[in-house]
Amino acid sequence: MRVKRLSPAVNLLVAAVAFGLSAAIVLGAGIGNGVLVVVLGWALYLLGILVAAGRVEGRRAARDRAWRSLIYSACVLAILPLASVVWTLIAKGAGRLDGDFFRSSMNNIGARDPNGGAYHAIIGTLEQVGIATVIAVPLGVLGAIYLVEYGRGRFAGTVRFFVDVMTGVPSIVAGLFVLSFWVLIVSPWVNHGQPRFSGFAAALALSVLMLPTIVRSTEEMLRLVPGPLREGAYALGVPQWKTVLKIVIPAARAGIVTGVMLAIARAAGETAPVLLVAGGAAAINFDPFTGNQSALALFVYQQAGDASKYAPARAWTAALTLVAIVLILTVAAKMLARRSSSTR
Amino acid sequence: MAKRIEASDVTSYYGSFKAIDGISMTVEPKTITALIGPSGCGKSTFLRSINRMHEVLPGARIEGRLTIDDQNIYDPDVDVTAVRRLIGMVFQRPNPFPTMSIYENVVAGLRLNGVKKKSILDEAAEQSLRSANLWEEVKDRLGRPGAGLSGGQQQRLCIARTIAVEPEVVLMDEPCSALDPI
Repeated sequence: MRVKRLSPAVNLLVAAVAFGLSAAIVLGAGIGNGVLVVVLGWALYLLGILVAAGRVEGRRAARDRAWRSLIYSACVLAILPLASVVWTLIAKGAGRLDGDFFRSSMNNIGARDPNGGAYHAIIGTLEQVGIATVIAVPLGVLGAIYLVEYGRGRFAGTVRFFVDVMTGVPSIVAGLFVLSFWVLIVSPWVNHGQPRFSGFAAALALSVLMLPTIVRSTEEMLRLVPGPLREGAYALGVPQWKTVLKIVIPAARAGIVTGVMLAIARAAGETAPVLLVAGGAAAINFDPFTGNQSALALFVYQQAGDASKYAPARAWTAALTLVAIVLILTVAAKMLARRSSSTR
Repeated sequence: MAKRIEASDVTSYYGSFKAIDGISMTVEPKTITALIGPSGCGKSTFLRSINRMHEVLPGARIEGRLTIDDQNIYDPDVDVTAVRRLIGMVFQRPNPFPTMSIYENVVAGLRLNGVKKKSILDEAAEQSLRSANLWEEVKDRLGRPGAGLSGGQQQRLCIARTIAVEPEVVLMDEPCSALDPI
């Protein structure tokens, strides 16, 4: 009754032979470097394990092994770029990760000044993304509730279609829209006839980008709430709006929060709209309604293209800061969502 | 006051599909009436018509008269939620609210209809759970999630939830198909 299994020693042997052979072929013929050795070695290993396992364990077990190895390698391949990005960010961003970076702006920082920081950009990102979230989340969640719980017929179909179209709107188009509408038409009314850049305009553009993401993800999450749950509440004589508020949304909360955080992460990484309508700035500006503001993504863009030899280090650290902010926000939001659903 | 239910010539549709055709019957107050029939013959559809749950499904509509003590529940000026508060329903599959504890599940109907006083809620919770024969099993863990109970316990929880709002009529759509037979 014992099943014959390929021993780990044989497995290792196959791997050694495969990579040795690969190295011999590639380096011997001089057709490539280490990367090709790994790729070819991996292919040879898969082939070898298929043959070896086929001998010992039979055809089915061999195929199982081969597929499993393929799936594992696909997984590794998918994680590799991500790990590489994180590693590069940390390795290159750590250089300027000092207190000065978070306390100072780029005001009066010349090309030969090694210091300077992203304080103004961090303020800009937090304010702009914060305002955009305040605008887009209520609208998006309410829109999704309409589509799932109330929307029937042609109007709902039209709304859904335009939400889908909006999902594909490039960020530069959203920026141009706000530039032509808010900055050039509306803002002169409150600024003595002069058009004016502002962080708020950037927030508007970001909310345009966030809205479809929030609507679509919330819609999907609300649809996952089973119908019998709603019926259970209706059968108790609970009105529809209360059912949505107290039964459906709590059941879908974790998913809605994830969708909102994805939208926030996307908005925080946008450069083009901020460049177009907030103008960018080197100095600290707390007021999102008056005057130019910068943002982390824009700061990265500007520093990466700057001629100063100190600029690239600032760009890397700003990128690391941006990723860290989004990560902290996401973790915090998820913990909040989980805690409130378990203690209720 | 118990209520008399009278159906006359009730016909239900799912879109263009006619699910039940011209049902007329009277249910006397304070009686237990069972509907028996082969699978798919429209028992559930008829049952759901009595507390206007049928119209929740898209494309579903109904013709004919359904009265509770001579009040047609399909009159345009009748409040749907009032009808459903009067006529509770237990479904085929247990559907406790997953985000709520056992206690919150039982008092959900009262709470969502505006009852806030803790003493009333506590009283209603214990009484309903006793009536549904679940009190002894859950009295020490009322704060635990309702979805953590076994299938049969969940269904008794749903029964407790339904009778907690003290409806005049309780509709049960094969509620015991998930309960232990003993």
